[in-house]
Amino acid sequence: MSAAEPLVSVAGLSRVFDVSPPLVTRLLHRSPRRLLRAVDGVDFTIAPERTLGLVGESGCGKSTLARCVAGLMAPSAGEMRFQGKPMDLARRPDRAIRRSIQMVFQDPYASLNPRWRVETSVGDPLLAFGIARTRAQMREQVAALLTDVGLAPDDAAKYPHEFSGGQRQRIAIARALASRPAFLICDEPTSALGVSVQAALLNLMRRLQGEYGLTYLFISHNLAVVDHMADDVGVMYLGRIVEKQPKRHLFDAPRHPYTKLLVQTVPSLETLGRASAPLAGEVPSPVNPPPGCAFHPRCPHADARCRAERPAPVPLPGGGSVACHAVAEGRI
Amino acid sequence: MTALLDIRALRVELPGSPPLAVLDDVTLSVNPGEILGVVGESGAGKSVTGAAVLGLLTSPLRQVAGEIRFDGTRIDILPEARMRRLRGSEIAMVFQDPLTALNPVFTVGQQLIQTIREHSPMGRTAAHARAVALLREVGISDPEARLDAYPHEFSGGMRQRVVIALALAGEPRLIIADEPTTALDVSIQAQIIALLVGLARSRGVGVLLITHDMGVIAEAADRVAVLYAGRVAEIGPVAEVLLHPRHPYTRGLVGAIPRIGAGLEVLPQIPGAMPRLDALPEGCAFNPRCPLADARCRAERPVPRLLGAVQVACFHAEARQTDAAQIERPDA
Repeated sequence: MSAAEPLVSVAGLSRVFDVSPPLVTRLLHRSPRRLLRAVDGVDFTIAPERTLGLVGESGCGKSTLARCVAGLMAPSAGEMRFQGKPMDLARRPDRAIRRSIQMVFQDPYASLNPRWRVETSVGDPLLAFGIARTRAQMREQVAALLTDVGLAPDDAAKYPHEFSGGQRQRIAIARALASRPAFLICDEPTSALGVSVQAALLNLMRRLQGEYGLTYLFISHNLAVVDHMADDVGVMYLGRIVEKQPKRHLFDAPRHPYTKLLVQTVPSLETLGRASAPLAGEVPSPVNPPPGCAFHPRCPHADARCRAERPAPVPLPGGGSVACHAVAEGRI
Repeated sequence: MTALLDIRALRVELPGSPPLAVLDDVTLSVNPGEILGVVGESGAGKSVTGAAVLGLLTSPLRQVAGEIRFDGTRIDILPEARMRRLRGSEIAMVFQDPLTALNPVFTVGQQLIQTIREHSPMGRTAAHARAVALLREVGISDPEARLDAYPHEFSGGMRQRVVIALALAGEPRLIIADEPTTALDVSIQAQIIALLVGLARSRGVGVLLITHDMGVIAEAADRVAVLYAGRVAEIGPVAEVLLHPRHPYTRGLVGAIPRIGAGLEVLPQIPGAMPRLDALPEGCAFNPRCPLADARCRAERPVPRLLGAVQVACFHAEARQTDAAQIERPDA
């Protein structure tokens, strides 16, 4: 994707959840273990100060992937390198790495402690990582962070309920920035907000990326938002990245049939008055995924091979890759 | 042609001293077979409008002025017993979250059959046949078998289809759909929109489609009403309002939508935030955020007036787009 040494590289990342019934029930009914492959062998790299956008529908494993990369959840398999050094994802990462990787969550009503003043929420990482030595230093830095995200220094004394959704998300961003991270994972950061608030927040995040030299993993189900924020875009379907390309290639000439479907069905002002032809079917259950290519039951190009054999990612000429037999065979 | 739903100068207040107007002088109408979109930020009064039509304003909200007519008859002054007959049979509703709209302890078939028999006296067998027909109409495959399933056995998109089938059970002539696609994935969203549009066209059902998603409005609605701080800013045919917005608020809203391939560095955004109901400015409610505001806007409330096919509540609605271009100057 980019020639620069990647800041983050992830290889073969998988996370499996055991969703089996309790042991006794299993023995009584002689039912096998049931495993949910939320993330299934994901590879990607992100160059410093670039943004990888990740799109996909709910249940495709976007948030699980984000949590694994953030170190909030141990993956079942896979490797991750951060700033060139291998990270042991199974263990709690050391302080230096935890400082450098931060996350912004979807729901600012749930991600801030309602009993903490803004100062405590934003200042806590400053004290925890020893960035501020004294409370006075901490207050000063909190004021600077709040100003950076477009709030007033006086807001530090307030509680989350005194803010609107957009303002709360700004507080969440200020807290994420407090430890001076290099890598910010944003999981649907504007999905709970209206368009005008969303625009302000996206502008803020782009500005902060320049000012703080941030690298983003930006997750959203909204393709237009990802197009605005990302340099490269990965499309996830049932735990796998089915296509990954520089964004212009991906939106102008999507290769994977699922990407084509997503790009076509985005409701937008351009589709005024004519509902886009919706594709039938839904995302299958990750507990019982279809054999072969997970997309084949909904795919207009599926053949016997698609139903039997799982496609491996094939590199594309413009950079990136696509995992589709039909593309690899030149059928589409 | 008499409008199916006719709301005139509706005012809904939150009592207090002084009382706060949640809806203020709201006038709109829905014709048979027409989809009227209602958009606005959270708190603009979209859902309250829907609740008022259904006679479901929750205390302490109350209607203090205006009238609501359904098929020429005033329904806002109907006794609750008669309103109850109307709800479900003539006017039905579809909510945002299909999981809370369905009863988890009854099968979909039990809920459908009970609702059908509630509205029209018929035997079990006839009601069963009707339930199957309804599920088929909303695009659920194998409806016979699905009748015995519980809501949790359906996916989000399928559940919303069930909710729509329930809404259709009483053969309503008007459907109030409050954020019907917000909880759904993009590709499923398109399917539900297509279903609503199809129902309006084939059955002549009028739909009041409440959403904050302009993309959904663009695809589904015939006309659109833009609400701001409990007032109608602009109402007219969807192509007119979205492609040639006349109210500065609509212009800001439409401009703030990220578009695929737009390639903007910074998204246009409306400065400031919607005022709280207890802090509404004098004159036009939008004046503190409006680039065109002058002394008159700050003193006098604009009365909606007709410009072509669009009704706009703005003194400067004729201003050339270039004058409004300054609204696109972001202050991130």
